[in-house]
Amino acid sequence: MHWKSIFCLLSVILLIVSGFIASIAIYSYAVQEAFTVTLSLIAAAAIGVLFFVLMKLLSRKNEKPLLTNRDGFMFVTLSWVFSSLSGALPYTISGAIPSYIDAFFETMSGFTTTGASILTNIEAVPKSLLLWRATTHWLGGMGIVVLLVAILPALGFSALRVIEAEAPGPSVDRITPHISKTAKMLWLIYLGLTIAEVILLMLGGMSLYDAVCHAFATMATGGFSPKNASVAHYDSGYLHWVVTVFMFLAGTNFTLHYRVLAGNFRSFYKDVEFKTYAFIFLAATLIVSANLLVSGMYTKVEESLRHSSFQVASILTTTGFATGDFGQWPAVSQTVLFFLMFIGGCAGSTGGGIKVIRIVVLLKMAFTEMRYLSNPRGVFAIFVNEKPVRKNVIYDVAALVFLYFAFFFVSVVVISFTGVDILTNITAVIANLGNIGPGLGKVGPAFNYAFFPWWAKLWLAFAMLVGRLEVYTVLILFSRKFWRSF
Amino acid sequence: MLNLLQACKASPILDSMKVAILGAGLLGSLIARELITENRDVVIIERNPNVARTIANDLDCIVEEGDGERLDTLASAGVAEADWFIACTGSDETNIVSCGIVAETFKNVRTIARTRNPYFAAFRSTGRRILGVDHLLNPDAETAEAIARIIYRGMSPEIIDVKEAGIQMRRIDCIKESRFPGRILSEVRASIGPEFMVPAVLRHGELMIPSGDFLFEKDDRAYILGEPSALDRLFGPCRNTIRKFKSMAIFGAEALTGLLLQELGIEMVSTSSHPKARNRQVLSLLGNPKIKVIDGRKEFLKPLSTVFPDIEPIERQLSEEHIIEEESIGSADIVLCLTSHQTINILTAQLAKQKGAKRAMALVTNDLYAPLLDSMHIDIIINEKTVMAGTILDRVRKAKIRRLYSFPQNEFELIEIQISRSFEKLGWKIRDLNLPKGFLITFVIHEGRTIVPTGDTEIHENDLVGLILKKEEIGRLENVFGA
Repeated sequence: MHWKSIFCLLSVILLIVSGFIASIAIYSYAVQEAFTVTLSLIAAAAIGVLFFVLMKLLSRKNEKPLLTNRDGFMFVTLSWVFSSLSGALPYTISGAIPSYIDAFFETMSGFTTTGASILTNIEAVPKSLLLWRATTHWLGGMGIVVLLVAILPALGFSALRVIEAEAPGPSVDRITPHISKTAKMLWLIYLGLTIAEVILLMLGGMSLYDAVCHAFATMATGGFSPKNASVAHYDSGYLHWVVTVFMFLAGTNFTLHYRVLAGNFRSFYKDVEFKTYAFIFLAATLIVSANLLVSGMYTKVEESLRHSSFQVASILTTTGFATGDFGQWPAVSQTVLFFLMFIGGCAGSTGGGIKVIRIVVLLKMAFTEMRYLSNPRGVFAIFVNEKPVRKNVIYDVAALVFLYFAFFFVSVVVISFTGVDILTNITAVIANLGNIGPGLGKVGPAFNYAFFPWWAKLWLAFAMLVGRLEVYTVLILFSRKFWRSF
Repeated sequence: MLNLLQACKASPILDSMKVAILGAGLLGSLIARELITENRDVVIIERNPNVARTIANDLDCIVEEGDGERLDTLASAGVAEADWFIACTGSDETNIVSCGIVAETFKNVRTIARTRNPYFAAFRSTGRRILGVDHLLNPDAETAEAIARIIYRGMSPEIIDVKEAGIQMRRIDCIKESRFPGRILSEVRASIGPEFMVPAVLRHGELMIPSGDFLFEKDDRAYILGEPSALDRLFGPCRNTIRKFKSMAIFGAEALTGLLLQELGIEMVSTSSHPKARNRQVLSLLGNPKIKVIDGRKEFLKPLSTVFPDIEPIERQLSEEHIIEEESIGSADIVLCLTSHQTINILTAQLAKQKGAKRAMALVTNDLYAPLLDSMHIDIIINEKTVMAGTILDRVRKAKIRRLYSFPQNEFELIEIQISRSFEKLGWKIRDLNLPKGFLITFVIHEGRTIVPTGDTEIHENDLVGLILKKEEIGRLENVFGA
């Protein structure tokens, strides 16, 4: 393990996080918030810088950082843990969230774009801290490490290993030959879409501050809203539709966005993952809205379509916004939403979950196995996007999905020790593992995670990280082989 | 952090050159790695999925899995937008055919093909496009040229093979040169004379570019550069050169050996397939050595013996016991180990040295044994892939840039630029050029005369300017000196 290289890079991550905290402090000063809030932000940034200097001293050397595969996993996992540790400081120092573990949960939930909160009265928290909360989403959505690679191309070839450990999906599509340029393009598209959403939300009458907070949370598929009632706070159909569209875009592979921006409009139409994703979205929306109409929850067609599409997009892309309390919705709708929690967005998007492409591959694998059963001497290949898929990829997907569920069941057992009912337990675990946020039952959109004991919060925060880094990256640290030097 | 930030600033905004490479073997990946260090956009096309995956994990470039002879693969790899297409798979035919397809389909792409067949070597450097191939390069021929250069220069381990004939680079151990340790560079130059340069110093495995106040230490290895006659005058003739050889033993009778013998001017039975003119002069210059070629395979020796009547081909397995004694390898002046197995080459060369051979050279294919070689007694190690990669890079780079020497295991290289008429600062003094930091001009060759440059040296058209710099700066250099 090249600890010096790891610490050298970690220190830069800390510096980036501290830089963002410092700019929030400037905002806090500009809007003349209570002096203690500004001061606590500055203090948090200062502590971050202090740790940067400390790590820098620990890793004094002049060579380029060198990362092996194992170092890459270590670095990525540690960078998320350390970002959350330092990102939690402003909440605790200012007293908005007195318990550091609660603050850590909140920040990890932010960076992993989960959106699970322990805050009961969100609107009582100073505005600058809520902005920081949304910013953690935005940074974590595209990935801090990807940002690092985008702004520091000097990382060189080890950048690829690191990005593969962080980026969602089975493989990283390179849209340009240099990985740092690819990272830069992804961040630019992300930034562009965020700005577009801010403008559209402001056209619908949102203030700049609210628009930025919501756009950050939407594009990152996070789900932190600065309002207690989430997006339901706004009684505007236009705003709901805008957020729905952008949630849907954020759950799409950003490589596709790049291709479309480069003028290749057919790539949306040709991509099998996108088609499946769109199909799931439309089918679920139709079922839920029909169910809502029949059961009389909503009487107008537009209303029921709007709320159902919003909620389906919110759960499918693992955002976790709410325009209504779907905890009160009829059974069919709840069941559909519950299943959507296990799917998630597309690979290469900011969404969490298992990812549509893996579901597609597993489905195709199952069909191929059936073809083998009916024709044992046949030779079949599995195609995705008109290209044959190698066995290795299929094994990788199957193993990941297995580990995902294994971790899910272990977590359910762990959380059951808190004594909550089984629905709350299961949905709380999948909502955190899948980076969604709200679940059903006692963790539904109208409630929060504050009632869990501290160890359950830590475990759920761990589950968020496992889900965000797609299982392998984190769990490999717990294998004995990983730590053996030979 | 500082070095990270510096690298960040140096990140290129220039229109990066795009290069498509077919085949991710040793040579393909080596070229790709070098081009990526120079910040070029690289696409590799590789047929073997496992190799493709490994290379995609290793290198910062796009890897397209597919067959290079298929147009759809080439198209989806984006060869149409490439500036260069380099085919270096293991098969001559695949390389030539794919270059042909590229040249037919994508008109603006220039092509390079690697071929191993010695009879194709005749088409090398004709300057014309043949079968869609702009440059047909033969690794054996390139290596043979490099080996011949080393032999002409007397097989000294101190003399470093740079392509420029007018200039010589030597490596000296400061511990043996009493005028270096404990003094700074400007003092050393004042006491020895101004006609040499010290472009680089190797200290504990790390390469340093010395400035005037650089203090030499006892363990340093200094590279010195100048005209051969000037170096001989200042430092005495290179102690280890051999001017006349009496005997030369060559292990391995593959294509490389034949090309080397040709290069050395050994008398040939004239046939139409060997177009190169005979050159007895070179051979007599070397002292008309007696040459033994040893190989275990008759089918390789037979063609050699029919073409070169004066050599002595011997059919012996290298694994035979007592082969060294019975063929009296120990009394040979030069032993060249040029088989296709680098392990055998290294061990045989070491053994020959131990038995008393004056000079031994081993051909290697990669850097696997590099850490071992320092403690061995082999005089010269020549790396076939590095030679070939250098040749290909010379073709690919924009300006008239030639790589003279790539410092092993370091990021630096010594290059030479020919100043073209379009260079906008013709006649300017070096100090007025405002060269970016990190560029060090080490020599200027003006009208065949080597000048040790100072700030007042002027740069004229057709001058050859030598620079030492980091590989990643090459792209910037092209911009400064114009294409």
